[in-house]
Amino acid sequence: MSTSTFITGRGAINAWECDQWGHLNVQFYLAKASDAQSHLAARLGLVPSRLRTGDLRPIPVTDRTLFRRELRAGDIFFIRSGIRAVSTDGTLDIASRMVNQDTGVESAAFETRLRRMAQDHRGPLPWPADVHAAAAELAADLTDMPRPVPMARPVPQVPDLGGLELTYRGSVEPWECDAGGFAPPRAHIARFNDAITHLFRTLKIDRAKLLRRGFGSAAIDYDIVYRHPMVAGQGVEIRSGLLSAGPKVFHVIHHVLDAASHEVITSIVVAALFFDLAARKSVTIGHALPGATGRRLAELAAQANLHRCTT
Amino acid sequence: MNDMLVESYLGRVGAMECDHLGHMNVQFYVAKVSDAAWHVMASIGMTPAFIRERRQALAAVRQEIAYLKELLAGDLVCMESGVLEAGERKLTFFHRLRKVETGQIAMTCKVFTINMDLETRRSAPLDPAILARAQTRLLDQGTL
Repeated sequence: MSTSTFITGRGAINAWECDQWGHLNVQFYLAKASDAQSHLAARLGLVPSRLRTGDLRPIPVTDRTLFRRELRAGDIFFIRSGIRAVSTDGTLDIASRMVNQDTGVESAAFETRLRRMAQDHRGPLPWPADVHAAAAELAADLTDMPRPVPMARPVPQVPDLGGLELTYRGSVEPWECDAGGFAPPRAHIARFNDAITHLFRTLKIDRAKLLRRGFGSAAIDYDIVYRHPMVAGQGVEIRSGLLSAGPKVFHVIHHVLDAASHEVITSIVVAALFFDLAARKSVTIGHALPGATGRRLAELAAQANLHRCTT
Repeated sequence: MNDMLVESYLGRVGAMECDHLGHMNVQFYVAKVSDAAWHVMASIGMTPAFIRERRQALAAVRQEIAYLKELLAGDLVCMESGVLEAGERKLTFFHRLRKVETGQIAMTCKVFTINMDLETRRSAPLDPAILARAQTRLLDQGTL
């Protein structure tokens, strides 16, 4: 193991963290990664007691998550993390890898950019000198955690809500926020998890029917941009759409919006596929969605692409 | 230092795990012990693969817990676990939860378990290799 990386998380997968497809739901990957980032941050001097007293909250700016091998109830895992870079403007780039401890197989890769956020939600602020120095000392190439290749369809810098469907409405509750009232990544992903069911409905894909036919859907890659904090008491909605569809992999985009101001809070592009629930192997879209539904997915993807090329 | 302790859990106290008294609620200490249990069982060969293939696992029948220091939302915690006692059908595990920032012990726990056949739902003898491994990893109770 590299001396630049550290064990930052260790635990087990519980049945109640698994979804109808029989594996760890995506929101809990981000939850466990967030906890692991806290252990790494503590090595830089950002220990809990200090975080409680100062303007030192590290919050995610971007997250790239690759889901490589599913985890199931009863599996045990560890997370290893390291620092790629720290900058004077208060950002910190962290890499983490989640590994099935029994098999040694990497389950997920996380590439996160954190920044320092002030109590009044202003930012970025530079890190204190001791934190910056500690991060600079630990920053390394992390050759045992190679950077993933860029996503084929990354989150656009400027959100385009044209043609997107309303797929979620709700509010952010205090119980799902951290001690400072911020909703952590898990709370964003849990909502995207709800939204995809509704996006599927608009695409005439019935998740229950899919399950009965023995197929499930799974995300394989996330590109997330957190544009503004999501906070307790906020009303939010999600607008979603299909970006592209190939023989196996399709891309969807979701934006979380403040329901009052319609400001985009978070944007995510998801690369996903369908898989055989018994064999636990991916299948083509045509195999999972035979007939008109599968053809319609390809047509809608082509239309969506045309819209984005011409607007 | 007890060499037979393994790190069985490394995590953080979530805000939603804290009650109206402002500290981690008792149920979540037990939840973390449960997560840790799978790791300490794996350390003696009762891995997730073993459990799935052999359809046997250890089930808790009694638990003794001492809450020594409160934990607050955001606290980083680490569990160390090991085997206290090993018998033909039963194992007793020891778990110790530390607050990472201060090193203080927040909780100690003994969990008395029986090996269970997951099909018949009755007790069953431990796999001899697992029993042997457990017996080589008994904790030095004097150092706990």
